Amino acid sequence: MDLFFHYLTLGYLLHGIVLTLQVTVLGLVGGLGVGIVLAAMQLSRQPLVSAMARTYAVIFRGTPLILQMVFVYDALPHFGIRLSAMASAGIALAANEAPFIAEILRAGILGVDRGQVAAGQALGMSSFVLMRRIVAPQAIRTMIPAFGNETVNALKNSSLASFISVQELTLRSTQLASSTFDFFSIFFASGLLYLILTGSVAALQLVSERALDLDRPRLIGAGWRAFLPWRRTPVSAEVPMANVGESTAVPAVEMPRARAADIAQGPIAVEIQELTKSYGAREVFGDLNLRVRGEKSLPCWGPAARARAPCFAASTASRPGMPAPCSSAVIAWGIPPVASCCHPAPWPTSASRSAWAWCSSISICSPT
Amino acid sequence: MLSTIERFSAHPSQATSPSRGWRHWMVVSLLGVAAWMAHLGSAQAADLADSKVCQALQAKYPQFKGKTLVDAINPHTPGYEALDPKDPNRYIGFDIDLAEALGSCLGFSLKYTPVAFAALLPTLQSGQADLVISDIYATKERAKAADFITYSKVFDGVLVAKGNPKKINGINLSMCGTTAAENTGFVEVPLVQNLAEPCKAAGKPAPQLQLYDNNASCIQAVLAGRADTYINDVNTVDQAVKAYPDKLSKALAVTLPYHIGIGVSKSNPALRDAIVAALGEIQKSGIQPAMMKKWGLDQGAIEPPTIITDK
Repeated sequence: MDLFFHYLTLGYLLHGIVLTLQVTVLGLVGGLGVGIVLAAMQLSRQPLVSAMARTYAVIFRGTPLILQMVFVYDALPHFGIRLSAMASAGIALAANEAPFIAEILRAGILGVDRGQVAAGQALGMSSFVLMRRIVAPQAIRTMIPAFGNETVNALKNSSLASFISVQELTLRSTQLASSTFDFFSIFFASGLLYLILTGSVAALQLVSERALDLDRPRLIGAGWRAFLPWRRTPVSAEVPMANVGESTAVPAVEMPRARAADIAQGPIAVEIQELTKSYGAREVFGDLNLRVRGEKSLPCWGPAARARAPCFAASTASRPGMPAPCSSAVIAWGIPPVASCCHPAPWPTSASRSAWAWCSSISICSPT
Repeated sequence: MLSTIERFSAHPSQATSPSRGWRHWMVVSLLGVAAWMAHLGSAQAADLADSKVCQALQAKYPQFKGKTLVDAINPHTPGYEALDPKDPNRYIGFDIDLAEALGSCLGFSLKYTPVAFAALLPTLQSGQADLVISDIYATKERAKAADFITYSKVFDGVLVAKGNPKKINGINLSMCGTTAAENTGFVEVPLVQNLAEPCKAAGKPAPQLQLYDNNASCIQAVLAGRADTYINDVNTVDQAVKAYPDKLSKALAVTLPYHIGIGVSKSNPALRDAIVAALGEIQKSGIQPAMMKKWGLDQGAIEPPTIITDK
């Protein structure tokens, strides 16, 4: 082990790191590109398209990477495609990573609460905007640990490129060991170099997780200690819950007590009693009781412009003799609210299938 | 002599120590000798390129002149091909010198691509390499995958743990019940496998095989006690014993009916014929014996180049 530090700083091995990283980056970037396409294909409703994606995943996830590398390097030339060793390794690693990355993407996208998507649809977002604004920001946050795993995997898997003559760290280590017979020093040195690389990936993962952590502001001042394994994001002492009906509980926005009391005194603008809505055989909500006091803004989101327009019209024009104006109102499919400030709004009587009411400030409602 | 040079030049700091003046001069003079010998080597190469035969060959095979050919090697065999421990960016060994000599005679330069032993011929077949000079035995089976030009007879050594505790004395019944480490694709693999029947007949268990993909792994297997023996080219075995004199020893050398050869793609008969001619010149001019001596391959017997091929 005398020469351990000599090998640790040997330019020949350090240059191997560059090639290791090249293979890894080629594999990850290519794998991400193909993985995005694969995930989109798998989520597609076209049976042929999703079947193709599934077949690809079965083949490339189900065969060893080393065979794929040897295939690209040694077998493709027989079909007239001769790639360099580095290109072969990069392509094989990318092809192998793609189904794993596709699964991460698919799981991340499917893992986003369906209600979030429905809410976005209710706002009239196109599927692209929906992906960019609603799904991706939440999915990416949950995908970071899996991507960290995959990066470490790809980094270690790049060592298999040694079989097709890519002069990366592993191949350089074994050759050096063969010529010097100094196996232990060299393999310990190259093992430590790999640890430094994978450790950097782990650090990058932690930093990314923290950068995307919505509770991050609460950890300000913790400095590097925020990254300690036992560090937990502090949870606020109590999350007040508002009762909406008997069975439904929605986390409420905190509100000063005096203001809540003030609101409770105001005139009733909207009142809904025992509202039930079924969607086919499935009950979407039942026994909804809602009372909105006047002078308050209750955002009302819906997909159809014709459903919103009259609401805004009513809210902007405060006419004498009308109920207390409000900025908008709660709507539900085809059922005019029991009391509404928005009348004589011509509510759509037959609900559009995507219509969905989404109340953000339901906390100001008091149970009836 | 060369090993002396290596030992001193590996510790240049000692040479500059004032208390060791005589060593300093010795090192300087030894380095001078080394430089002279290196010069001799390059002079030899220059002579080779200028020789009538090589000039004629370059005129006859102009397609190789100025080209860079790729030589697939399994660089885990010190003496034949391995990294230079002092400058790991280059390969050294007899096979490398031979390739360079062929290159200077035929006017091409060389690039080396390191692959697993079992991948040498597939790399050649796929066109990722132009030739294979990697201490590979030219057998009839391998001649189905490539054409070979032989340059040496084969002597195998039996590498065992110090003192030969299992009393192995060749590829024979003494190996029954023992474990041999070999590389995938080695000619010794079927020879050991074929012992199963005779061993059974003698009422003994068959020998076990562990397959690796380079010499270093096989030597490690014997060092770690996982395998009882490693049978391979005698010079490789000697190098291993030299590196671990306290732990390894050579049981004996056995002759195998094979030849070490240069592999060339079957689709490139011009290169094959050019190499046969150039190798003949290299042997006639005394360069090959000098190179074998330089690398300590004393137990290799030079043979005139012969083509081994099979449809």
